[in-house]
Amino acid sequence: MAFAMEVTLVKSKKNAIVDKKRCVACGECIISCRKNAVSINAGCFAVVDANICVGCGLCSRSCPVGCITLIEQEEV
Amino acid sequence: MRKKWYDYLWIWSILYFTLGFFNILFAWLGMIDFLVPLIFAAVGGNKGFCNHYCGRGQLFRKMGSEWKCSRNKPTPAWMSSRWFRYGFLVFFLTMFGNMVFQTYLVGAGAASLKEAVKLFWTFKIPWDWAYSAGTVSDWIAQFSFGFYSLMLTSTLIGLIVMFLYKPRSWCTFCPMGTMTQGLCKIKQHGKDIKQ
Ligand code: SF4
Ligand code: SF4
Ligand code: SF4
Repeated sequence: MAFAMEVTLVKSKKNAIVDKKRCVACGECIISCRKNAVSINAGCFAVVDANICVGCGLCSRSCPVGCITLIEQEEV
Repeated sequence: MRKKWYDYLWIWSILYFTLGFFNILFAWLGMIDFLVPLIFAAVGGNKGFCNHYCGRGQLFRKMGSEWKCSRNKPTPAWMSSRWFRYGFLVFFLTMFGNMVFQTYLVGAGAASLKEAVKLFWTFKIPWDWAYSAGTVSDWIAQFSFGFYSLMLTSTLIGLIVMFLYKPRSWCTFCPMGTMTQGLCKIKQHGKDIKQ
């Protein structure tokens, strides 16, 4: 039972993914993420640490470019 | 997260326009916002300015998110597209160059000092209360009026897109943002080649 629960949890976990081609590296996502999961790679684009991200979607809602999408983690 | 000193830089943005309203010479302080981001990008190869220290970005975020002055609708895709970002940068730099040229003309005595602020590169607003003629060389005053116009115009555009779209929609095509990201990309590209 416990095992089955764990599987569903892992399967339903979402992750934020940045389209680095469109990202303008403004840093809005860094400020909006309460988990500190985002950093800017050398001033070029944002990167989300998949291990920390809880898939809350705050960053994708505030990103002015709209280049952050949430995907099911099982795809990773 | 605990607030740091630089989380209050949005106040600087408001202070800047207030000071310039009373004395246009304070417009020169805007050079800080012009040079610091470029130093961050050119020396550090990062967007530390945009990410932490830009008072204007913070002001849009504050007004748009906290004070709910933004409709929070998606920014139109063309606004953050490459051609628009670089196109706006070129336009902005051309207007900046034009402003410097006007300053030069006044300095050389070929044009007279105009005590006005020009909004959206079109509308002239008399601003003579903010300067008493002869306080400094005419060209220093002319640059102040020109630079203040540029700062005010860009902030107004930023406020309009903040209201219409996301709080920080301005940051998608802000010339400083485009320039600093461009510099960082060039720097990073250089490093990749070396490796
Ligand atoms: S908010 Fe969007 S555009 Fe800005 S750095 Fe994050 S992903 Fe990039
Ligand atoms: S989805 Fe939530 S936790 Fe993940 S990066 Fe965005 S704001 Fe942070
Ligand atoms: S993009 Fe422009 S307005 Fe936005 S944080 Fe950077 S310098 Fe400031």
